[in-house]
Amino acid sequence: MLHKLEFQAMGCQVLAVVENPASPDALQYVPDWFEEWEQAFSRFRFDSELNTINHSNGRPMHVSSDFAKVFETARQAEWISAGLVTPVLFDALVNAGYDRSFEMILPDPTMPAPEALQYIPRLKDVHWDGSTRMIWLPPDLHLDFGGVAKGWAVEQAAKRLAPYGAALVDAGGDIAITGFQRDGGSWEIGIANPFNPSENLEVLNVGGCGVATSGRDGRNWVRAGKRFHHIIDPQTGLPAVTDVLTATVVAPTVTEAEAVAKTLLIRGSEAAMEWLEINPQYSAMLALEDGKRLVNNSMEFYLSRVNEC
Amino acid sequence: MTGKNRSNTWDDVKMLIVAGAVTLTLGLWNVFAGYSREEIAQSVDATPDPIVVSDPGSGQNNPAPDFVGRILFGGAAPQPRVIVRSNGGGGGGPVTQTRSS
Repeated sequence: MLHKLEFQAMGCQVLAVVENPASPDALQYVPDWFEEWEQAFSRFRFDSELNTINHSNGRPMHVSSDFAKVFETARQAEWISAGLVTPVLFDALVNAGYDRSFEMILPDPTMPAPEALQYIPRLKDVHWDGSTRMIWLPPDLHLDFGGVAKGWAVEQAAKRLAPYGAALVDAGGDIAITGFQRDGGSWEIGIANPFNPSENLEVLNVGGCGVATSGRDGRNWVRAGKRFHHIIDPQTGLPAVTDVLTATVVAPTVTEAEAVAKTLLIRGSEAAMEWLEINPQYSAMLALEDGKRLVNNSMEFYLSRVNEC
Repeated sequence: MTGKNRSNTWDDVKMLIVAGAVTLTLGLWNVFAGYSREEIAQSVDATPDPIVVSDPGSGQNNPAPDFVGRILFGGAAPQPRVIVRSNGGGGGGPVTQTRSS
């Protein structure tokens, strides 16, 4: 018996599913967990912990335990992506036009196109002491956890639901699954077609793992007659120029899947497939803007048969 | 110099009168027009939990529960949480869809 709960949080639709004969008590608390995490990590809530840290004006600050965990996860994402996925691009995102909650961005032809930033911060500029949970940001550096915080939240919710039965938590396409269903069956997850999101390009059959898709088809906007999106290339400080429209990744955890999907999108199809050759532990499918699809060997496994990550 | 001081003093008096009037108005408003905190707390405590478990297979329960709470202005609106029950995921198509967000 699957129990499902759907609600809005973190700017997207969230789905929590638990397989259990009885209605699990924990399911009703999932929206409260997400509310708590959104309050901590949203850059659009002026009183969030993230904004408090971002307005510390060069003073060292003590952070909460959850904030420390998300910051560590963001550091791990930067390591996996060799610097392409980094939490220090807050100002670059604002410069690109993503300066408010996405649904509030209106087309404005009078706004100029974003220009390259004079200064692109680096994560090594942030002083962090994990043992005391003290953080020090230079005054002109601001953090934005973005998809890392969402992936982390999805992972935490799934872990908390796991004692009740096999669980799946999905926040806007970032999905954590705790294991196979009771009868050994896999979870079927569709990969949205970026040209028509109501239909699936493929269906994944997965057990315990993380799945994420990163793309420039959803969150994009027009400035000075040109379309811009929210995936920033830290090498330029501007939205990534790439032939990849969406990248879907299956990985041991959803935070890894999220980081890898962004990495592949920023690198572009050719460099992405090379990267996957030397990182075969990640399974990926790329949908390109010309309509082609690229799949690495390990991804074919999930498209054809059931497998644990 | 003396004239300027006198002008400043009169400005201070006017400011005091205005401040006093505003304080008095707000004070009286609070006394006669505001709810007491105890009343609000009691009404919130008395609101039943709007969680409803429905079985779409039986077709007997309405998945949209009647809202029986009191509407309070300010803060986040209470959201009904509807937990939907279904029989397994096998063969019924994908449980969900991954897409860019």
